[in-house]
Amino acid sequence: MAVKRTEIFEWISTIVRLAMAGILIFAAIPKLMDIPQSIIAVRAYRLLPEEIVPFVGTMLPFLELTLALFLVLGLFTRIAAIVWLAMMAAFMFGVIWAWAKGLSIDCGCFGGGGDVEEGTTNYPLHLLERLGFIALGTWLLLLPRSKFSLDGWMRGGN
Amino acid sequence: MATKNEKAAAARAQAQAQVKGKERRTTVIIIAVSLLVIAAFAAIVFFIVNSAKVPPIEDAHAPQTADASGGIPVGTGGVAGEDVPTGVNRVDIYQDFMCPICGQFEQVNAADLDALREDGTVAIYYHPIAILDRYSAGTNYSTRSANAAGVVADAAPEYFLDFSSALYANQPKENTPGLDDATIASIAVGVGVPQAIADGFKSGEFTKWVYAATQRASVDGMAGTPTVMVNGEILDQTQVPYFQAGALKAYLEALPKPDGTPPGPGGE
Repeated sequence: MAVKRTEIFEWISTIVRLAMAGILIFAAIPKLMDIPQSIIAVRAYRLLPEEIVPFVGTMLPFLELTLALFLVLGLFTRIAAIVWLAMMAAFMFGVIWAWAKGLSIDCGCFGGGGDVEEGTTNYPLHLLERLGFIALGTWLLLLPRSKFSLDGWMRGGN
Repeated sequence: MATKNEKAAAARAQAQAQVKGKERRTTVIIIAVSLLVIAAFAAIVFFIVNSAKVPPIEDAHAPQTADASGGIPVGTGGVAGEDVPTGVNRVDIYQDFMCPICGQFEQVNAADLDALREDGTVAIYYHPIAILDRYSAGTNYSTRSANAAGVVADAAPEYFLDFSSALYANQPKENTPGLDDATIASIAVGVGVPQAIADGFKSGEFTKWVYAATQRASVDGMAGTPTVMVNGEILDQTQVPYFQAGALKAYLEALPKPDGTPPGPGGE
């Protein structure tokens, strides 16, 4: 009975892992296609000093793709989950900060950003989305074992 | 005896498994580190390449009538860069030619702004920027149209305003390929721009300037289009509802000049 539950969890973790990778790729691609817009989106939060805004705006999609690669391969999955959660925490902080300051921005997570008419920014929806992503990351943090992973190969199983 | 052999065999198997485990761990760590190093290297190359794409605005080749913040002033005679009144309130208008809300702004306020500009009440700086390139199906209409506006501001400044209006009159919908270069050129010729200049739009002479001006706009506080600034401060719609006819005009007419003197047409 106990063995069977672990097996189910491993399958769920595999799906979670690949879903997170997919989300990262989906978020990175529009940014990669319009880097100037990605920079503008990061700047719109008015959180980071201007000197590093272009760097962060350019690097963000790269970080997302690299993390996606690790998740697809199932490589150091628990650490990948921690990095994911750290990114989510940073984004959530940014969204709450912008909301509190009354900034009218589009979240910028999926390649948009900084171009929304005041009043149409949808902070509650963005926060809800973030919470969903945090739930995924937390699952993987607690249950990082999954099928078809390099982690599994390293352990000698799967 | 049998037990001893069994134990020895088991110990051997376990030792072999441990060695195999260690080998696999090492392989995986090598893979991970290699991926990170390759990713870091690629990221740095990527960053360098993209930094070259968007120069700081002071380094970009700009239209000769443009100012350092990416704005094109239009003076009392309707010519870009000429007869711009001094000592009066400065209005900066940031627009993207694909932005439908900018089209609305144009419809509501263009005539009023022309009147205020012609009698010298305000100095207006137009900023054609590109923040909606991703909505033109890969054709970068926002950048192309802003570049065309830059060319006209540079080489045929007397037609800059008419060209801008014409672009809004023919504004394509978002999520379409926008207007192609030939159409933009024919619109320019339609308002009087010489054919030779209009044919030059497609060479993208001021494309880098458009990128630079757009970034500069974002640094200056532009977070969407249209953005209206008066004397460098973003105009808040809750205070001046500039999508209501006449609201912007009334506000600008009543605004005292920067030196504190009563509102009204200024000097040259």
